[in-house]
Amino acid sequence: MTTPIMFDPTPQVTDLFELHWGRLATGERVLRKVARNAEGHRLVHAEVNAGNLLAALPTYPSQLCQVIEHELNGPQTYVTTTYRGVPVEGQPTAPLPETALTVFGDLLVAIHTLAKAGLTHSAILPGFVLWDGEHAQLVNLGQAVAIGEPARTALDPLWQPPPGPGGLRLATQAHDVYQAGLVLYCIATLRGPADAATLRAELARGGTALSALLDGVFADDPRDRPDPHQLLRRVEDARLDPAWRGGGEAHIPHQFVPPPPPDSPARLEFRQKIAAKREYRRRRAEPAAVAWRFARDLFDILWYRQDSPYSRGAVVAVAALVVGLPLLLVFLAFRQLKG
Amino acid sequence: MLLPSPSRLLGRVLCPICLQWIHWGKAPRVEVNPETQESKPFPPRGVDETRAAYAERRLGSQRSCTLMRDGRATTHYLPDQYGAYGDPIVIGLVGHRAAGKTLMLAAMVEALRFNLGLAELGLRVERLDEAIDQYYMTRFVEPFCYRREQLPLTQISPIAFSYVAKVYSAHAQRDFAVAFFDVAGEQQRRRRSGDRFLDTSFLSAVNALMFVVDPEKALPSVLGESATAYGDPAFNAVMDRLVEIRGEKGSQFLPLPAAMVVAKSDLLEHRRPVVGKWLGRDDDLELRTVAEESEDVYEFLVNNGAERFLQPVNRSSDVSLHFASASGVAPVDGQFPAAGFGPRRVLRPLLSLFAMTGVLDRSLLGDE
Repeated sequence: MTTPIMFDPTPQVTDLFELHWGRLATGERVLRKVARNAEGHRLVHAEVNAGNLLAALPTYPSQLCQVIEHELNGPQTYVTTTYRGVPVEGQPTAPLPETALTVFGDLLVAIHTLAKAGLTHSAILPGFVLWDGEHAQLVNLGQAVAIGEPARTALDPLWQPPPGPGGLRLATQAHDVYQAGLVLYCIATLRGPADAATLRAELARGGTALSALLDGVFADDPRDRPDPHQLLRRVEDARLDPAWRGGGEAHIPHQFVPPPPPDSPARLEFRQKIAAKREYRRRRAEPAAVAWRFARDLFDILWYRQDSPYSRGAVVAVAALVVGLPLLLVFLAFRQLKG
Repeated sequence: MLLPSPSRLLGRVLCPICLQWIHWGKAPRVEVNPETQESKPFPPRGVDETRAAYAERRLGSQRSCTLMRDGRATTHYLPDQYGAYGDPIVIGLVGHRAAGKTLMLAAMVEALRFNLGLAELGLRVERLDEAIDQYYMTRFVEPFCYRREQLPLTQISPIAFSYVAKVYSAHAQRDFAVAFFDVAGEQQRRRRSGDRFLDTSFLSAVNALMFVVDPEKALPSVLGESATAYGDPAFNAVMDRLVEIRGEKGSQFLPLPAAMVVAKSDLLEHRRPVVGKWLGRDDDLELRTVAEESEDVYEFLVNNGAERFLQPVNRSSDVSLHFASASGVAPVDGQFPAAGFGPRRVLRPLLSLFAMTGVLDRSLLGDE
C-alpha cells in the first residue's frame, strides 16, 4: 500500500527508528517510522496490527493516529501514520482550562475506541499525546497490547500504575485511565509525574476542579478506578463548570497552589509569641485580675484626682471597710472561741 | 457584661498632656483665641439663646486643664467633647525622623473620614473637634492627599493632639473619642524634662501604639544598599519608657496593643513577592487575613535583617504587622507624581488597633 507523500528532506534518527516527517496531498502531516533494529521491527508490526484492528471498526476516531501506509516485507520495514499537531509534553505554560479538559476527553475517547478493538495503549505519555489546536491525538500505537495481556513496563516507573490484585500488572482500560489522568495532571499543573499515593494526597489537598475530575483515577486497585464512560460524563459536566472555562486567561484556575514551604524558624517563633500573648490576655481577663485592676484604678483615681478632699475621705472609708471588716470578724470569732 | 472602667464610672478622664485625672463634668469650658491662645470662660447658655445657637457656639469651645507645678500654673486645652464618651482611645505613632508617620496618619485620617465601607464594620466616624479637624485637613490631608505635596518634617513642639475623631462602634454600642499623637521622631527620644509639654509624657496615656518602620532604614539589603540596619532608637526609647511606667511586675508583656506598619512598602513591592502579594490587595476592610499578614511581615523582617526593629512585637500584649504605603510612589522634588499615587492599605493597621482595643470585635482579626 503506497500513498503519495512529500517528505521533509532530513530524517531524524533514534535508537529504534528513522523518523521521516512529511505531508499528504491533503496537507495532513504524517510520520513514517523506519525500523532500525529488531525491537523497531516488532513495534512497526505491532502498530500495523493495531491499525488494522482499528480500521475494522465502523468509524475511525480522530483522537487516534491512523495508519496511512506500511511495509513489513521489503528491504525497509516501516509504518506511516497521521501526526497532527505537537506533543503536549514540555510546553512552557499550562494550557487553557478548556484545552486541558478537551485533551483529557479526547484521551478517554481514544482509550474507549482502543478497547473496542480489544487493545490498550499502555504507554500514554505526554510525548505521545498531540494537540492540533482543536483536538488531541494519541500516537505510537506500536506500544498497544491486547486487553488482558501483561502491560508493558514503562521506562519511567512514575508512569507505571500500581499493580492490580495478586501483584499482576495487566493491560486494561484502568491502566490507560491512570496514565491519561497523569497526563492531565502533568500538563495542568506543569509538574512531573508522581507515584499514586503522592498524587492522591495532592488531589485531596487541592480541593479544586481538577481534584473532582480525577477523583479515583489514581486508586491503587485498578478495579476502584472510574472507567472511561464515567470519566467522560465528568468531562461533559465539567464543561459547564466556570472553573474549566478560561475566558482567555493565560493560566488555569484549577491549577494547584504550590505546596506551602515548610514553616521557617521565624514563622514558628512568631506563632509562639502570639500564643504567649494570647495566654497573657486570657489571664488578664480572669475575674480576679479584672477585679484587682478595677480596685487599683479606682484607688488611683480617687486618691489623685484634683478635687481631692472628700474623695480621699471616701478612699479611707472604703479601705477601712475592706481591711477593718475582716479584722472585726476575726476578732469576734476569737472572742467566741475564748469565751 | 463588660464592667465599665472606674474612670468611666466616676466620669474621669486622664489628660494625655499633663497626665492628671480630670473630672470631665467639672472641667471648665473656655473659648480660646486661636491667634493669641488666650482663653476666656465660655459663657453658659443665655435665657434668650436658642438651643441651635448654643450648640453652634459650643463648636468653638474647649476644656482647659491646669497643671500646678512648683507654684506655677500652666494651662492647656482639650477638645470640648474629648471626655464626653468615656475612656478615649489614644493612639501614639512611633518611629524615627522621616519614617513616614505624618504621611501615614494623613492618609489614614483621610480614609477614616471618607471610606464609606467602614459602615460595613459597624463604624461611623465624625469629627470630634471642629478646629482640630479643620487645621488637620487644611494642613496635612489636603496638601498630601489632594495636591500630592510632600509634607514637611514634623518639628519638636509642645505635645498636642494631631487629630481627634468620634467613632461610633456598633460592636461596643457606644461612641469613642479617638485621639492621635504624631510627634517628631527625635522628640520621642527626649529625656523626661521639666517641661512636660515637650517630652513624651503623653505616652503614659496612650492605649494603643502604631510603630512605623521605614524600609530605607530597616531593610537596606532589600533595597540593594549595603548599609546595616541598626534598629530604631525611637522604638526602644518609647518601649523602655512604657515598660518602666506601665509594665507589670513579673510579666514579659506590656499591656498595650500595637500595630507595626512597614511604611513605604511600594519601595519593596517589586523586590520581594511577599510584599507585592499583600500590597496588591484591596483589603483594607478585610480583617480576617490580618493574622496571616502579620506572620508574613514578621518572617519578612526577620529574614531580611530587620530583627532589631521587632522589640515592640515582642513586648506588646497584642500585635499585628502590616505592609502599607501612604503615597504608593516616591516623591520627586517635593511632589508626588500622579502616576501610581494613592494610599494603599493604610486603614488596615488602624482597624486592627480598633479590634485590639475593643472598638471592633477582636475575633475579626482571624487568629482566635
